[in-house]
Amino acid sequence: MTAAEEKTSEAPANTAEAPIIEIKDLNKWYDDFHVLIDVNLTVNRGEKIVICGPSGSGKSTLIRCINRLEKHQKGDIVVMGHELTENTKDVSLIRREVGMVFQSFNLFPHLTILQNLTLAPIWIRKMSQRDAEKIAWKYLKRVNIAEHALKFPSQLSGGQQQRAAIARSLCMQPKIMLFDEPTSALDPEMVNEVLDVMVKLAEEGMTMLCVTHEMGFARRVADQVIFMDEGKIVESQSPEKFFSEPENERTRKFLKQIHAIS
Amino acid sequence: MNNKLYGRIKSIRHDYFNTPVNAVLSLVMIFLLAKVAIWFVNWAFIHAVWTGETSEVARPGGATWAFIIKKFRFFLFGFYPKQHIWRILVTLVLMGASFVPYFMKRVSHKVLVFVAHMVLWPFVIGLFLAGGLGLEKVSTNNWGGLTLTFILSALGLLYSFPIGILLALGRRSEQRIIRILSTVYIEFFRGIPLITILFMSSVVVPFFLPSGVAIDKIIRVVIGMTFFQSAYLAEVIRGGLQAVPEGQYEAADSLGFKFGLQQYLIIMPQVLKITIANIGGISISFIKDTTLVLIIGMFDLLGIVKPLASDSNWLGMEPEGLIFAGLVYWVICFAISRLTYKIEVKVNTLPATGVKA
Ligand SMILES: Nc1ncnc2c1ncn2[C@@H]1O[C@H](COP(=O)(O)OP(=O)(O)OP(=O)(O)O)[C@@H](O)[C@H]1O
Ligand SMILES: [Mg+2]
Repeated sequence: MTAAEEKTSEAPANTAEAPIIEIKDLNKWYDDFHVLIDVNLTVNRGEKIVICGPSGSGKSTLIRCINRLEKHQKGDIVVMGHELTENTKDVSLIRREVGMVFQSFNLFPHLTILQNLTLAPIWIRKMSQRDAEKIAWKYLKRVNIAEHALKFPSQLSGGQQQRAAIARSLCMQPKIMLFDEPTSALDPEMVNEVLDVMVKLAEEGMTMLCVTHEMGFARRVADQVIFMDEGKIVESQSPEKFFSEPENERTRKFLKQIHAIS
Repeated sequence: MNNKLYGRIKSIRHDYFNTPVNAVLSLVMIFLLAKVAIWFVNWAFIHAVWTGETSEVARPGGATWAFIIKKFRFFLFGFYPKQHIWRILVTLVLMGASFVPYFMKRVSHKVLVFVAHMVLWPFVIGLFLAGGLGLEKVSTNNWGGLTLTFILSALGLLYSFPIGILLALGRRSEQRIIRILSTVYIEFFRGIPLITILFMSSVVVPFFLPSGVAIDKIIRVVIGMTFFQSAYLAEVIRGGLQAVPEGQYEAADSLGFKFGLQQYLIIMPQVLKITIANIGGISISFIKDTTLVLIIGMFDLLGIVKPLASDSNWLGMEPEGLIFAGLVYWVICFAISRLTYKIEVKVNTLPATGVKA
């Protein structure tokens, strides 16, 4: 699906086609620092969005608003038909359906990899241990770390830990996955093993929002590339257009800096 | 082997005899230590008296351990009536047995076992030690010796743990009122000496109780000590909480864990790992602090020395009594210290927190 097609699906004929995430006039402040300014974003089911931009532009803040790790002060965020408000019931409903992968992995260090994967399915989804482990093994194999299942996180390399963290999120069988610079804490030789997992996930049709500067990944899987600067979405394009003829001066400068113009 | 010995000698010579002044000081110290040690061995073993009915058997320059042996029951059980001592033993066995579920693999929620302890221990102690349901009543004034020390320590630690955890969480709460209340509680009880709390609970509190309501002194003392200990534990646990990285909370949040489960499954296990050594340390001080109850007229292991040595048959036996009590405290505290160290080593083979990027 391209950005153009997405525009036409503004008025959904039935609920199945309603956008899975709808962000309208989102504004957020940290005290008096205006970190997100009038952000609008519509994401359809199965769409892959890559968000890039300079440090401090509000990328992390934006995707953290989607599962309400951050509260917003103005505007609406509707995820899978639930508006994000103070209502904690809606928030925990959303969090079950939205997986998140962090720059620093954040695996639980006191649990084995397998336990990391089964913890939420057992306690939040109320699965039996057997079912949870069955699902866990499935994803462990998919991200290629089944042989480390019984180790503790600290015994794994960064790339392995990040793949385990992705698998942990997937075990909750989320409808949306958020990635916040999943490869920027990794040694270069480990970046690809994590990106491969993400590409595979994208090919399976997962709805994904990725904050990343891996432009190869963006080219390969993104339906839409978003460039943020100083709390605003400055440019939002299909990857072809984004990389070949960026409209905005700041985008061009940014792309030049990260040597992404082909 | 010889080489090793030679190295040892060389390093001693280097460390303690490297200058004439150091050599002289070292020799003086060795001389003094040897003198004290020889005196003590003579007193405690060579000239000691092990049997006898009164202090008349005492020999100059020797300990009269006969006193300890004769009064052993009182050191263990205080002035608890002899024919009822089996009730203390039953209580101890039941309390000991209640630890078994902690070691059972099948019990996956040890916290429930802990809650069961909090509910059941007072009942067991009340029923068997104090009496009831057909068992003859024994006044708590007769409780004493090691038994009293044990009961005060066990109940104090048992209740101060969960309260300390709640206080630590409260002090970090986003709710301003909860945060202020927790902080005030912690700083208040950390700021006053335990002895003041004990005096308050034994002397002042009864004045404020409505007439007709009497709370046993031992309950008041346990409550007072719990207040005190929980404030200290709270600070230790708060330190542990600060060591858990923000990312752990975010990961837990993003998986859908709400506060309670998040703390129980993810945060607290890490906190307890980090703080185990400190918790062991303040538990040891707490057990030693229970000796202060002798000031409010309770005869714990230390407090009972004086009344026992006032027996006209055994006048002047305080030194033996005090040394014996001290030895028992040392054994208990050393055992706990080793135990926490063992747990620490076991736990530290795994990472406490955080994941290196
Ligand atoms: N908790 C906070 N309190 C105050 N200011 C914050 C907080 N979190 C982030 N900020 C500020 O908000 C701005 C946006 O932060 P954000 O983390 O969203 O940027 P980012 O685009 O993800 O940057 P990076 O590429 O460095 O991760 C930054 O200027 C940051 O300093
Ligand atoms: Mg960021």
